[in-house]
Amino acid sequence: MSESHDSDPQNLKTRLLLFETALAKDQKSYYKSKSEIYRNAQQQILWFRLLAAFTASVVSFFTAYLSNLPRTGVLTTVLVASSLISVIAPAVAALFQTYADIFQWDRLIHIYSDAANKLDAADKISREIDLAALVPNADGAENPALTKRHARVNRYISAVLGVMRAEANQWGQSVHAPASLEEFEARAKQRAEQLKKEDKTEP
Amino acid sequence: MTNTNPSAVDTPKNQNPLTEGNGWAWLRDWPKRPGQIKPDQNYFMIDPAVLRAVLAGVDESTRKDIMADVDFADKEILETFRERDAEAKKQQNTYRILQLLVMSIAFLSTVLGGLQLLATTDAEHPALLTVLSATEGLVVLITVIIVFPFADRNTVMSSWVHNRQRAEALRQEYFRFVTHQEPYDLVPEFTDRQDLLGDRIAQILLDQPIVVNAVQTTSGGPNS
Repeated sequence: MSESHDSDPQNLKTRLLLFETALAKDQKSYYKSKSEIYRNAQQQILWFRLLAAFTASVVSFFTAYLSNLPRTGVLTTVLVASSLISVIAPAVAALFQTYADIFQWDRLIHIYSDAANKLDAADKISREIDLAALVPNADGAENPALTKRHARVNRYISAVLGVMRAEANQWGQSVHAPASLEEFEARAKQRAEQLKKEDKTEP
Repeated sequence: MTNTNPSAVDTPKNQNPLTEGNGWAWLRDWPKRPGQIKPDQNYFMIDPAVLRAVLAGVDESTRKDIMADVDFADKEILETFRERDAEAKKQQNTYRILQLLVMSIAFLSTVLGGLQLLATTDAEHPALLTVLSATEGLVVLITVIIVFPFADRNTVMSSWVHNRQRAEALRQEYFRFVTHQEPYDLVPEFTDRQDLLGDRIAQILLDQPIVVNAVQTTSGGPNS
C-alpha cells in the first residue's frame, strides 16, 4: 500500500458507503432506539410514582377517618396497616423519582433526540452525491466535478462525526448524581454528627 | 447519495445491544453482577458482514486499498477500544450499584423517620419509639462511617465518563482514518498515515488535545 486513492471515484464511493452503513446509520438507529426506550421507561416510572402518591393520599384520608372511630380489635389492625401504608407509600413515590434521576432518562432523551435530528440534517448533505456518474479524467487532469463531490463527502462525514462529538460532550456534562441522594448524604452526615454529640454529652 | 445498501441497519449493532420490545423499559439498565462485564471480543467497528457486502462489487485495487486501512485501524484501535468500552461499562455498572444502594438506605431512613413519627402517637408502646430511633441512628451511622467513605461515587462516575469518552474518541478516530478525513486526507503516503494515527491514538489516551487542521478539539464521546 503506498498512497491515498482519494481521487478515484470508486474508492471514494466505497469508503462513503462503508461509513454510512457501519457508522452513520447505526448511530442514528442507536439514538432513536435509546430515546424511545428511555421515553417508555420514564412513562412507566411516572405511572408507578402516581400510583404510590395516589395510594398515599387515599390511605392517609382513610387512616384519619378510622382514627376517629371507636377502637375494636379488627379496626386497630386495619388502622395500624393503613398507618404503615401512609408512611411507606410517599417514600415509595420518592424512591421511584430517585431511581429515574439515577438513570437520567429526561436528559438523555433530549440529548439523543437532538443528535438523531442533527444526523437527519447531515443526511441532506449526502443526498445529492452521485458518485456513480463520476469518472476520473483520462488524461489524469483534475476533475472539478469529482473534487466538488469529494468536498461534499468530506462535509457529510465531518458533520456526522461533529454530531457524535457534540453529543458526547453534552452527555459528559450531563452526568450528575441525583440531587436527592446528595441531599440525603448531607443530611445523614449532619445527623451522624448530632448523634456523636449526643453520645458524648450523655453521662 | 449512494443507493446500494448491503445491510439496512434497523437496530444498532455498534454499541450496547438492545433487546426486543419495550416492556419493562425502566428495568433495562438495571446493573449486572460485578465481574460479569468483560471486553467483547465479538465487537468490531465495522461488522465483518457489512464489510464483505460493501466490498463485494468493487475492483481489486479499491478492495486492497480499503482493507489495508481497515486492517491497520483494527490492529491499532480495536483492542484498546474494547478495553476502554468494557472499563466504562464496568464503572457505569458500579456507579449505578452504589447509587441504588444509597437510594435504598435513603428509603429505609425515610420509612424509619415516618414510623418514629407514628410511634410518638402510640402511648401504649413507649419502647417502640426508642427501638425505631435507635435503628434509625444505627442506619445513619453505618451509612456515614462505612458506606459513604468506601463507596466513593464521584470517583467511579469520573472514571466512567473518562473511559466512555476515550472509547468514543477512538471510535471516531477509526472512521476518520478509514474514510481519509482530515488530517489523514492531507497525508498521501500510507506509512505516514499510520504514524499519524498512532500519534493521535496516543493523544487520545493521554488526554491531550487533538489538533485537527489547526483547530484544537477535545476528544470525547459517550453512549452508555
